[in-house]
Amino acid sequence: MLTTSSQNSANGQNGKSGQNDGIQHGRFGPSAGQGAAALEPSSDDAILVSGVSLRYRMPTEKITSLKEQVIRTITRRTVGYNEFWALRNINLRIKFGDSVALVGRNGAGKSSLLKVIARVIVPTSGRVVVRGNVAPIIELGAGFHPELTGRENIFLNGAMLGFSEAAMKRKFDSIVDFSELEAFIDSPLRTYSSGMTARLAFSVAAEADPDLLIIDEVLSVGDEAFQKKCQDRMIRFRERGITILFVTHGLDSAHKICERAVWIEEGRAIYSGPTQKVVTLFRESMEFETSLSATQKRQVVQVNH
Amino acid sequence: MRQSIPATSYDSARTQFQAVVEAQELWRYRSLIRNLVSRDLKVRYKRSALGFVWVTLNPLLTTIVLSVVFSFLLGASQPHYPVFVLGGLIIWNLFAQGSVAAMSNLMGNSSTLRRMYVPPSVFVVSAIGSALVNLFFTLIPFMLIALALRVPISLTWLYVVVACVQMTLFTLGIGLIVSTMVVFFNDIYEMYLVILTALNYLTPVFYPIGILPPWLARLEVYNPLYLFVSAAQHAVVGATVIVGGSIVDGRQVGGVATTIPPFIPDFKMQLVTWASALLVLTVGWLMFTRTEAKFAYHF
Repeated sequence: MLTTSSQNSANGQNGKSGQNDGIQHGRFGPSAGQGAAALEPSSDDAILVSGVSLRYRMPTEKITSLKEQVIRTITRRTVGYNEFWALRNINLRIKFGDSVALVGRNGAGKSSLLKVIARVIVPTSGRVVVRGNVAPIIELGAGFHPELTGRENIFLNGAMLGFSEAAMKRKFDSIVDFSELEAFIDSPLRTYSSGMTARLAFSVAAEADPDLLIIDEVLSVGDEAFQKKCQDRMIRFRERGITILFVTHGLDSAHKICERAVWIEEGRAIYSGPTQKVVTLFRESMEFETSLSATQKRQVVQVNH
Repeated sequence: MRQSIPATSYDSARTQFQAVVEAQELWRYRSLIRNLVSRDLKVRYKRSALGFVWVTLNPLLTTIVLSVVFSFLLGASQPHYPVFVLGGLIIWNLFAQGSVAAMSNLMGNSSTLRRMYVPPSVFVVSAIGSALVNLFFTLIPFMLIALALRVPISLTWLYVVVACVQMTLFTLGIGLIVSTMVVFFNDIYEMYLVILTALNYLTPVFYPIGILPPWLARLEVYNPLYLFVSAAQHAVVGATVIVGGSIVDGRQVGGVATTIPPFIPDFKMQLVTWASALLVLTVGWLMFTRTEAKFAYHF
């Protein structure tokens, strides 16, 4: 959705005040603190997202070279921006041991939210607090090198998660074991299928013994047996009290792994509650939408804006 | 359930100085730096038959070419010319390779930085680390050549290590500056390559400073690159001072040449070189850490 910032702030209505989980039920604008008072960190928060908004500014004409910049400065032509709010005043409190699924359609802001939590991108406004070691799998192949072998990539990826070589040596056997890739471990990663890469990525993250596991929709490329294995492992993690944040389109796996779900729509956390309830609501909305004709869809969009 | 509550590992609203935070993170990710340096060497030499031999062969072949060309042009104005030029080149290459690799390494890993948290300075530091490993490999043939050509061994050779350390810090500083700039404007990369070529000719690396016109030679005191390079060269082969005569078409004609045995810079010059290396490093570090939060929007 492309809008300018002025339109956005006009859009900012006050949401109903949040429940103690920090989710506001209702629509609210992108600026921090407009909906409800900012959340304060408490000692049992694994993740606190308080009034977080994320704005991407896309120049109408992209300047990527100094030459263009200099010409522009000399000719005094300024560049307009299209602003895109990937996240709008998100409030989310995840306590230690919580397992939370993020659901929502493509482009709703789920991955942006994960990136803000995983420290990949600093939010435009608001505050993110994270406690403990994080093992993120946000996109497939992140922190891997195609020319290196599976073995070398395990050490590289471990180092990118902040582990020492000695620690990775200790974990190495169980990582290979879990991935079931013994036969290919000395082949370069470029010869792996995406399913095999996903196996390796999940195995490293799973054996990293994190306090907090962040997993984007990457497991869906694995075969069914491995998906089941990952699910079992995540359920074991949950039982051990490890915090899990999980983005999924596989609504069944959300239901199996996570106790709570948050529905993200157009950069807002619009609904939070028990997984069963949120997933049912989300599914109904998707079904409703697919049942509409193109004309009806346009009308719905007009009503919403 | 877990017994202890883990400490805060990330707070986007923390008020600490980013230059300090980044330094702490860099230390925490030191095993990644080691891994990236060895990965860089492995990937680069995996598919070539001569492998590591290339690292040492490359400056050696350049030295032979330059020796043939410049021994003819410069005649006797520089004693032990092959050793002089090889010594200058390997330190120059540390700078040239290191600063260029800093840019390409940061941009080459932008896909990683878009997807997971890694302190971005890791990629700049590991680029300099790779250049340093290459330097180490070329130091061995350098020593062998110096011995083979009967350059008298002297204690002042040890000063080469000091010059290398200074050059490393300076290169890291420049590497941080140019890689910060290349994130925002990608034509900086090409521009920098041109500037680097110009600097290579402006800095007396493969010719003695004596052949420069006096006004230009005086300006070299303000060129830290020259100070590092010449300190290493002087420490190994000494220098030649020519009194009288004149320069015709860039060549020394007449005059009396006096050869000075290997020496190390005086205290004041040592202070100047350390200060310039550390100053550039500080500027680079502050610039990089002040803007790194914006990197993710530009990758």
